[in-house]
Formats: sequence, C-alpha cells, structure tokens
Amino acid sequence: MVKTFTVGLIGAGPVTQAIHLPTLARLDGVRVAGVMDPDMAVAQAVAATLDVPAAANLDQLLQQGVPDIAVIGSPNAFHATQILTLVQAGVRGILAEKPLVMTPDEAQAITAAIEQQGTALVVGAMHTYDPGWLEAQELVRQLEGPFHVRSTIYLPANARFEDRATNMVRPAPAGPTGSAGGPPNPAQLVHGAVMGLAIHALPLIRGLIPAWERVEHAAALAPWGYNMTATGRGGTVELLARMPGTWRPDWQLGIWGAGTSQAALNFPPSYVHNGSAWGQVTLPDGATKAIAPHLTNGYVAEWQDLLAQLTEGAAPRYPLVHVIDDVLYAIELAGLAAAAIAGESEVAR
Amino acid sequence: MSPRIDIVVSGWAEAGRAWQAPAVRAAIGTLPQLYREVAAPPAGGGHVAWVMAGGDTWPDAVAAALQAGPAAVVVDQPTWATPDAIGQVERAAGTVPVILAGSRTHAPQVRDLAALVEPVKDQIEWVDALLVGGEASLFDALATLQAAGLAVVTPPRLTASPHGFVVEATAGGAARAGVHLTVLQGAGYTPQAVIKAFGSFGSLAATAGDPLVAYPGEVIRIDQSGYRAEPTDYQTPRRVALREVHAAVAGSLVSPHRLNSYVPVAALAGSAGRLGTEPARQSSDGRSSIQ
Ligand SMILES: NC(=O)c1ccc[n+]([C@@H]2O[C@H](COP(=O)([O-])OP(=O)(O)OC[C@H]3O[C@@H](n4cnc5c(N)ncnc54)[C@H](O)[C@@H]3O)[C@@H](O)[C@H]2O)c1
Repeated sequence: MVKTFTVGLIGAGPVTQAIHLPTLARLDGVRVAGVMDPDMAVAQAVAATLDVPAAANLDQLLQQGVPDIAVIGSPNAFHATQILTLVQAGVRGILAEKPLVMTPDEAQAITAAIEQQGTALVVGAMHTYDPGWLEAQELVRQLEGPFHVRSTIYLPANARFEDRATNMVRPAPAGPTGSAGGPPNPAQLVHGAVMGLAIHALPLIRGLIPAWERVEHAAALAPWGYNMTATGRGGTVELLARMPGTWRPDWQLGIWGAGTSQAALNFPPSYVHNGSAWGQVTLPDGATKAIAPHLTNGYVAEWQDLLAQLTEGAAPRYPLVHVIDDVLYAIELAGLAAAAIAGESEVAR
Repeated sequence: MSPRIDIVVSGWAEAGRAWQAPAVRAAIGTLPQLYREVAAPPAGGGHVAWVMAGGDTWPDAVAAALQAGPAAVVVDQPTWATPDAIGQVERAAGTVPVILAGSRTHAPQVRDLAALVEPVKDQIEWVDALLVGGEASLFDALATLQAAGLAVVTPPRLTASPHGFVVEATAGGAARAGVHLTVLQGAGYTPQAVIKAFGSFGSLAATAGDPLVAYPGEVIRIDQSGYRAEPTDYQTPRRVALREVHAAVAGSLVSPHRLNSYVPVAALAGSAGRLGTEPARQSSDGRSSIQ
C-alpha cells in the first residue's frame, strides 16, 4: 500500500489557498492534516473545508501531530525560523515558499540544520520547476555569451488570479497597518520586490550571469515594482516589473547572446494552474526550437520532486547548495539595488 | 490621380547600406503609379531625393542632393543627428521639405500606437520599449519614440551592454512618464520592436517585426474590459514614408516627420555622447557604464 503523507500548512493565505491546495488536490499520496495561521478566522475557515484542525501558532500545530511534510506559506520574514523549528520537530520534507530565507546568516543556519537532519527541501520557485523552462534550459545552456538578459513582469493585481484559482478566504479588513517606521522608502521597496518577485527570474538568470559586479541603475516603480539594470560576470541584466496596472499578464525572459544565440520565453503568472512556460530558443547554429506549452506547471512539479525524494529517495532536482546559492544571489542583488538607490553601487569585495 | 514623380536614391556606398538596396528598390517598385526610379536627377529638378544616410557625412550628401533642385529630400535612417547638422541642412534646403525616415518612424504599428497614445498621453506613467535590429542608434530609437507620441524630454542616461544599450529617461505629457528603452543589435538577432505604455487607463502595446519586411505586428489597448487590436498594414516603414512624401510633394500633406521636428531628439541624443550613435563600441576596460 502506498503511504499517504500528512501535510501541515503554515500560513493559510493566498499562496496556500490558491497555489498549494489546488495542486495537492491533483496529487495522490498526500493528505492535509492541519492548518496554521495567526489569523485564526482564516485558519479555521480554510481548515473547515478540509475537515482538519486549525492552529494559531506553529507549536500548537506540532502538538496536534508532527506532519510528514510542512508547507511554509507565511510572510518572508518567518521562513527561516519556521524551517528551523520544523526541522528540529522532525518533519521529513519541507516545501518552503520563495524566498527561502532573507539573509546570509539565515541561509547558514538552515543549511546546518537541514544537513544534520537530512530533511528533504523544495523551494516554491515554480518557474525553476516549470516543464517548459526545463526544456528551454537545455537549449539555453548551448547559447554563447556574452549575454544581454531582459526580465519583464507586468501583471494585474494578484487578487485577479487568486479568485480564479479558488474560492478565496480573505482576512477581515484591518485598520491601518504597516511598519512602525512609516511606509517603506524606495530602497526598501526595491529590496522587498527583488526578494518577492524578481526572485522568480533570478535562478534562471544565474545560469547565464553567475555573479554580480554592480547595479548600474535601480529605481522603484509605482504602483509597485522595480526598474534595474545590473552588470555581472557574463553580461548585462535588465529587470523590470510593475503591478498592478495592466489586465493582460506579461511575464517574459529575453536572452540575447553572441551570433544568433537568443531566446524569448513567456511564463504563466503566479496562481495560474494552466500549463507551462512557452517560447523559442535560437541556437548558435541558427536553428530555432519552439518550446510548446506543457500541460502541467511548476507547482505540480515542485510537489512531484518532493514526493519523489520522500518515497523513492530520489535526488532533489536542486540540491540544498544550489537553492542556497540561488537565494544568496538574490540577496546580493537586492542589497546592491538598495545601495544603488542610496548612491553606492559598487560591490564591496 | 496624382502625378508620377521621379525618385533618385543616393548614398548606398557612403552609408554602407548596399545590402538594403533591394528593399528600397522593392518599396519604390510597389508604388509604380507614384514613383519612377531614375539614376540621375532630371534636368529641371522637381524629383524626390532619397538619401541613404548611414554614414557620418549624410549632411554633405543631403547638401549635394539639394543642388539638383528636388521637390523633397528624404533622409533615410541617419544613425546620428545634431541640432547643428539639422540646422545646416534646413538652411541649405530653404523651402524644400526635408523628411526624416527613421528605421521605424513610419512603421504602421508605430503610427497606430501614436493614435492610441494621443487620447491618454497625459495619463501615461511608464514606457517600456525594446528595439532589436534596425538602426541601433540612440537618435534613431528616440526618433521612433517621438513618432509613437512618446517623445523623451529629459537627457537620457545610458548603460552599455555587450549587444547594445539601455536608456533611462522621461517622456513628456502633463504627467511625466518614466521611459526605459533597450536597443540591441546583432546581425543574428530577429529584429523586433515592442513598445508598451502603462497608465491609469490600462496599457498600450505595439509589436512589430523586421522593418524591412511588411508584417502587420500587433497594436493593442488593454483595459478592464479586455483588449482591442488595431488593424495594421502589410507595409514597410519605407513604403509608408514613400506614400507620405509623395502626398507632401503633391501638396496634400504636411509631413509630421520633417527633419527639423526632430531637433529636440537630436539634442538629447547628443547630450548622451557619441555612445548612443555607436553602441557596439565598449570602453577599453570592458566596463559598460556610461553616465
Ligand atoms: N510561488 C508563488 O507564486 C508565490 C506567489 C506569491 C507569494 N509567494 C510567497 O508565499 C508566501 C506567502 O505569501 P502570501 O501572499 O500568501 O502572504 P501573506 O502576507 O498574504 O500571508 C500569508 C498568510 O500568512 C499568515 N501569517 C502571518 N504571520 C505568520 C506566521 N508567523 N506564521 C504563519 N503564518 C503567518 C497571514 O495571516 C496570512 O494569512 C511568501 O513567502 C511569498 O513570497 C509565492
């Protein structure tokens, strides 16, 4: 008989409801066993639809029973401490939403703990698992540099996608929130936006531009987003994002290299369970290969990777050192961008 | 029917554009009732002088063409222009119209985009443009944006990349819009132009392929109610320019693309230094930032 893994959901917000629950509904061998969210109304509403207990904090969830798998869908600042708690509690696998952690110290701490316990880890960076990207990546590896890379993300508000992915339970409207220090300044905004959104594209770009040299230009874009140009070993990278403000999602990665080397790839936005990336790659010999959309998406592939690790002892697609390097690459860029806005753009090495 | 006008194309060799000769000839050949291509200007003048302007000395080539008494001069795809050079040409031309045909200024998609920009121009907040192929010069790229109704009004800040350059600037309108422009050139690249403009109304997007090929592209306005595509023609920018110049000579049109209307763009391109006109050149240490 095939084992059914129990799943604990940490954070019951949009990502849990509109990404992981619809994905889990497709998969065999998994069963949600508990839902935790400090907003108990949200935790209870989500738990009720699944017929499982709700918890207001992580200790309470673990007391109800340590799940085999934990999904971390909480705000970014909590990821590292929750990973440490879950690893110590003995969960077998963790699907942690991007960004895995927010600082190099956190990266070091979770690396030590995960290596010691042998916990399986998958980062919820769906485009890195997207079957269309994986097909394209084989071809992109053949392109010749130096490269000019252009990542553009223009999206409607997230709610538009969330509401199409599920019947969302939202928290009751709260009073004015925000940090005690007032609204974030442009450097903080861009830092947050790199760690929150650009981080989807950065692991793909790291294969072409493995290290940063400096950020040439960085600015926050209203209503929310960034406009950055950075140079690194291997070429130049432009990162542009702005949302909301359009009604047609437009998420692209363009790559231009030496000779005919070029690629134009389109990605499905977050929350969309409707197939993979698509586009085309032109190789150094001039041959153009189409990347047709695959029927599944990166969300399903993330889970399949984690389940294969747990059931078959399969090697992860991305070993721990790889996902740590991915997040350090993003942390460095976010720091350089924030510093560029504050007027210092050189990498201090 | 308007009269058939003689047209003299010059400057192939100086412009290094001999490879474009078939495309220009073909464009002229598709308008047999408007033009007759002749090798030398007719004795009495009154023709159209089409000057391929790729090289450094195009103002001299225009001055030479003016000697033969043309009814109009077209400056085809100059890779640079300064207010002084334009002034010199305009003075020599007197009342003869001198028209700029940039690599995409007359593209039907750019024209349709300009029509969509016009009613919302004061609401545009952000412009993202990608120009690949064509003429990878800052002047040509800024001329394209001006033709789209998105003229840049502040000195552009350039960053060189291995295959072109990236520009940050601001476009005019009551609400100033941030402009991010990427210009890439490589003989192996698929030419394309993608211009997007965003604002409170939603967004506009125009895409066009190789300006040497008459492919319709897509020009759309996207808003809350969906998106509507504008029809675009199977016309190359040069063919559109040829029609327009003919109408101008026949007296039925004042061209919006008079070279002197691009003086502000020439000034801004000049303010960014020569790099904008010579994107392929890197500084000697391989560093790529240009303030
Ligand atoms: N992969 C994707 O496509 C994608 C898309 C959006 C967000 N994300 C990531 O998913 C995570 C959650 O995003 P979101 O938009 O749902 O965030 P969110 O800010 O809406 O918060 C999600 C939920 O977490 C709860 N929460 C707050 N503090 C908590 C804590 N200490 N422990 C557990 N839960 C807590 C909130 O009450 C909320 O219900 C983030 O890390 C984000 O970066 C991923």
